[in-house]
Amino acid sequence: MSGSPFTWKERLGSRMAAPLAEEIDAFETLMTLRKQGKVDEKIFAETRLRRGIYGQRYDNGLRHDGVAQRTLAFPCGSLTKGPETVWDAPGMMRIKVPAGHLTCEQLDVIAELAEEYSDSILHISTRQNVQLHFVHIEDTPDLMRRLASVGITTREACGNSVRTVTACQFAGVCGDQAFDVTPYADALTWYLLGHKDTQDFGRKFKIAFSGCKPHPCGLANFHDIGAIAVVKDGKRGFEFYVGGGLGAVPHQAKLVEEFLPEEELLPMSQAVCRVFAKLGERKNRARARLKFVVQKLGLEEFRRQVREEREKIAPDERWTTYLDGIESKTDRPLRPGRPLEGAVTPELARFRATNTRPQPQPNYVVATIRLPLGDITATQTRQLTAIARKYTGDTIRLTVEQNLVLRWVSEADLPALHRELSAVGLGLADAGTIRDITSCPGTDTCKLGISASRGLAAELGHRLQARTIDNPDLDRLHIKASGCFNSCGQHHVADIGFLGVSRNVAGRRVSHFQLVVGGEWENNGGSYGLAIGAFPSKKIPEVVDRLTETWLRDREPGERLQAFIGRAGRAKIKAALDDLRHVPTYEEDRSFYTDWGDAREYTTGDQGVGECAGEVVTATEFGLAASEREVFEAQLHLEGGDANRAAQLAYRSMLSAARALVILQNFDISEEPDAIVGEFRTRYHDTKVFHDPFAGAKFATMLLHAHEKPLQAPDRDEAHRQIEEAQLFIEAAHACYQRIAPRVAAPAAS
Amino acid sequence: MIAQQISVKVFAREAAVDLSAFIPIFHRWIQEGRLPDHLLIDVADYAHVVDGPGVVLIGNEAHIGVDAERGPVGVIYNRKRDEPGELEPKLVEAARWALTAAQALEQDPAQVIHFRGDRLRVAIMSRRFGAADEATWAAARPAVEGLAKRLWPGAAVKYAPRVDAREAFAVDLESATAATLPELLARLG
Repeated sequence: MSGSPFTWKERLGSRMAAPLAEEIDAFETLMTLRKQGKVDEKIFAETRLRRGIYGQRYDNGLRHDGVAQRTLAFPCGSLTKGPETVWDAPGMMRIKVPAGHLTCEQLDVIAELAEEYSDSILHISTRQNVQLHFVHIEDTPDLMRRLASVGITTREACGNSVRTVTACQFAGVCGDQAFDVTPYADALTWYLLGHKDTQDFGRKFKIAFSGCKPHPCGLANFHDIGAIAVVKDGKRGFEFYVGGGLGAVPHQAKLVEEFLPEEELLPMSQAVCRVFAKLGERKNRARARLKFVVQKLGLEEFRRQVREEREKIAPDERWTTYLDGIESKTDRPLRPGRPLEGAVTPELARFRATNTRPQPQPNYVVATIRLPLGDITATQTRQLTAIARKYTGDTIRLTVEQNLVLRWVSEADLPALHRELSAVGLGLADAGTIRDITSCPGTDTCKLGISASRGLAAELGHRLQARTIDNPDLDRLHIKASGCFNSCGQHHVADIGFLGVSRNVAGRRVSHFQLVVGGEWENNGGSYGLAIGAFPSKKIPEVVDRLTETWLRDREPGERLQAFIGRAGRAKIKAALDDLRHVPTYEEDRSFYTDWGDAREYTTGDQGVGECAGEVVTATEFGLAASEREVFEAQLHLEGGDANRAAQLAYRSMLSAARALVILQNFDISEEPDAIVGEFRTRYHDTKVFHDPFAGAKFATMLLHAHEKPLQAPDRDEAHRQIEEAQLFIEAAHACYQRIAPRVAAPAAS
Repeated sequence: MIAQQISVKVFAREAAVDLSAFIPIFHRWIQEGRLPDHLLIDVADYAHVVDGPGVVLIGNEAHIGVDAERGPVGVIYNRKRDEPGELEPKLVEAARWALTAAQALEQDPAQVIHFRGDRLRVAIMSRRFGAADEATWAAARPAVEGLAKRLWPGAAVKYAPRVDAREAFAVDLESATAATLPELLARLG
């Protein structure tokens, strides 16, 4: 690499798929326009969210330092990247990892990015994503380019879009699976990415795949779409669930199709998306998820609407082309499977017992690498990929429990693998046990965080690690912590769950957690717990101890915690823990007035407006923003001496603006210029809807003329005129939209 | 070659430290605006990660951390925002801030860490400069030696560059003669 200076755009140009490269260039242009004040901050915010660029705590430029709230004097002044979001404030980059699978090369690149643009930590989220924190927005285009060079897009990682499609980490190597769901998850990911029917949501949309019903790895029960693989009469298909979700009030998904044949997976998912786009709430963000549509309509009516939409969808060969040879689309071992031989150390025995799972393929196991709080360093990542290249190849998957797995580990290689993992700090046992605590970022980085869920999880993990736990039922418990009621830590499905809340004690704020019990992790997140009381954050370790002691002492033989709570009753449990709710006075014990891992006195003053809800930006607004970007790029080309390209882009910008208006009446309008201009003429020109109150048809005619008489090898002046006309046309489109928008319903798919 | 994201680590005399002690220290630095010309934003605790970045003071221009990654323990200054100019002045600037942070930690009433005056690690995290290979070391060497001459004038200095093309460029410097932190800072001007 040493040598002449280069930009990443130049260096990686040929290694990025053209569509990915263009999207990134378009976003970079939008950043320039935003800095010039030419793009609305709301539109920019939703655009960047849909590129996976998320806000973080304090990005409103304010932070309570333990004494008072202070203004963070970022150099950018009043420039914002969204409503109340300062341009220079650090953000989070969410890297989508469909079905959780990453190659060694991809992980190596992400490790580089973590070192250069973040804090050298890769964070695995509860949805199989990698998140990099403290990223500056100016670094994001190059960050995205480097990801694109290894086939990763961050598009639609956040915002009102289809988020990462998750799948169980054992897909393909699970003895209980009906079949490997990985290629189905991949196919659905790429089918829905950027699809016109997924661009006009009022809220996020989450999809999960499971290869089987009983195991929780896929968590199909609490997703907008959950697909569980089944085989019926020798044919592959899915139990197709809709309308699940956690959030503040969790909903179980409903079975909408008992057996959906595999060839129907893509179109039926598309149909669900169309119903969501059509009927989803847009004003009340708290009720905008699909689960509320299902609830409002009832399952029968929802099913009817989905099937009706399904019939309207034009056939697409992509529904079935991926099925060709699908049974061979699975990862393969690097080394032959051989049995484990020789002595096993106590450490390896424990690792083997908790962190490995036999594959149906003889002498192979899946090895879980437990990452405390889901964090792994860039250096460790490179060390891991070196180990993977030696033993397993590109079989790495992320898990929803914030760990990693290596598949196709030969049993004979386990001792050496474990030694090498341990040497780099990745050999921790107890994956999936009570010590393996899941947590959302909480107040560490999330604007919505109320309490320090990560700090709590770290403290609990530390204490549990120091304890000897010889009761297997205790060992098997799942503890999960969320920093607030939005349940990103999935506390609803934990045996022992916590959600961050705040309490006022003698005029001072004290961090608390609600204890949530009765959740079921198994059976794909089978049932949800309920809160039984709020406890001061600093008492939570005692709460865990007391709760588990009570259970183990008073349970019937072999009775699981969930069953015990159901039998004993919540009132009894609450009574057993009541004294732990006491908060000492500030003078008696100041430690209660700070949160775990934070030296500052606790405050809720740093909570901000979350970006997980995104901004509701209509498809028309996006289209008009795209036209602005294109005409700006036309100017850049003109400045660069390329009159022909400048004129082409100017014409394209007019088409974009016209299409943005047409979709108000015909959501399914194609991208073809003839179709766009034809529809524009019929719907907007001939009806005079587009006419300017003073200039009449002048601006509409600019598009019609540009389309009917395209410029051939224009000179600079001609290109310049085309750009000017495009700008006038776009302004007229904006004005038209403002005139008609209050009267226009949400875009309806025809 | 584009030299950005310069990183300098000053090594501690202690073999291990209690990382949790730095959380209140760094929060206090934010309250006090402890590092001039730096907007200090927040404290990130990664003590749970084996050989991780430890406790990191997140800033707009740079991150400052106490870590034991690739041993030994030390304070690390990681420049995050691009800056103009040639490599040597950037190394000097980063070293100055790393030593300033080290001195501040050493002088903290908590007295949890003390630093050596004969060892530093210099890294250039931007892969646009080059990976950790011989060619990159050859390109960086004059600037690194320039820094060493200013820190330890007249002293013999050993250089141990990292050689792994998957890694960012880094080199450990070890002087035959030590100096105190104030002396080193004074020499950098």
